[in-house]
Amino acid sequence: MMSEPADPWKPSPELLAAFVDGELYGPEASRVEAYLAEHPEAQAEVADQRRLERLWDRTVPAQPGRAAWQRTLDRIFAGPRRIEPRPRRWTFVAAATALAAALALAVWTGMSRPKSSTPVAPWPVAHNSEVEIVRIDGADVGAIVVGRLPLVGILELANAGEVEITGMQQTNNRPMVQVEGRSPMIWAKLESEQ
Amino acid sequence: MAVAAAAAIAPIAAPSDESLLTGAVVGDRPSLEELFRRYGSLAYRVAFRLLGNEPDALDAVQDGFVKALAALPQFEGRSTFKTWLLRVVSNAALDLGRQRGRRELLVVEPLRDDLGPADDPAPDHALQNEDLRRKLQEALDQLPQAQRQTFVLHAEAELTYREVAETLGISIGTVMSRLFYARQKLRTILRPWMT
Repeated sequence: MMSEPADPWKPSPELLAAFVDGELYGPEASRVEAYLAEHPEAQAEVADQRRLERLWDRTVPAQPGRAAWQRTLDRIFAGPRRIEPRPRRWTFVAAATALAAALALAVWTGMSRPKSSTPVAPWPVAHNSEVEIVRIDGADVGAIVVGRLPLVGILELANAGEVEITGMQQTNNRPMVQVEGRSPMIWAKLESEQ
Repeated sequence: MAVAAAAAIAPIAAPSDESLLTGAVVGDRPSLEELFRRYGSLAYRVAFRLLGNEPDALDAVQDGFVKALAALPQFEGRSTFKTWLLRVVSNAALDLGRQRGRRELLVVEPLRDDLGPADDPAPDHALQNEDLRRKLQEALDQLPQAQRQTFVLHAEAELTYREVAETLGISIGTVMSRLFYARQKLRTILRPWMT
């Protein structure tokens, strides 16, 4: 007695979502539709996605008033917005420290070199809390970058003492921990690998 | 005679985005106003979803329009102005979010200064939706930036997968993957409100 061969085909969750989003056409859409008709658990998945859509639609942001629109339009017409720096508690202290350091350097260089008629301008020095690293081009930083690929946005830096490497793993030639030179980098899994 | 009458009432063709852009770049205010009328609201909704408050969202719209117009030579008509603008505005919103950190979400309704008729839903309903909006915003904030941007462009701007892919310069497969993980996380967080 022969049993009927089970249909091994099953749409991936991404394909199912694409069907709900109306992104599938023709035979591909028909195939998913036929699958849904026979699989209640997949229908539940679809219903869940639609519930999220309804929730999203219920929370459409309120539009600004006419005056706010007009102000925005006027500013666009006027050109680039002036960036207003965030107030920082330590800015003054950092600036004073930087100025003192620059002055000390100026005095030191003034004592050790022939005097010049050109005044020495203080060097701008920023405190590390005032710096936001948005990109690192090289591996010449003395810290470990903890992040998730692709590396976008603010990078989290950890000192070596704050991280303990408990194991290393190879996944499709992409090391989970890459140790090159002085700056090991920990790679998190790609979205598609999760 | 009939032909003449028909011609008289035929609507005047709306100027294309391209012609408006040409005008806006050289400082023609009506052209800019028309572009803003066409896409300002959509850009605002995308920025609001990424930032969660009106003042920052309007700043992002402003930055986005200015940058989009300034960088028009890079646009080269390879995509539509809409997707180009949404790319710039959503990037501006993410930059702004990083610069300013998270602001407390405002519970108050935005100030109505358009003096239009009050067409808001019942107050208790509005409050309920406001609460829901805050929950959704908190959930969105927990998504990785790339997933959040992809999801908002698809769900709020109603861009197709292909348009999202073109807007962000990624493959359609990556769009699908990001949407899947974004939805999965949002559903987990928002389960109690998804009735």
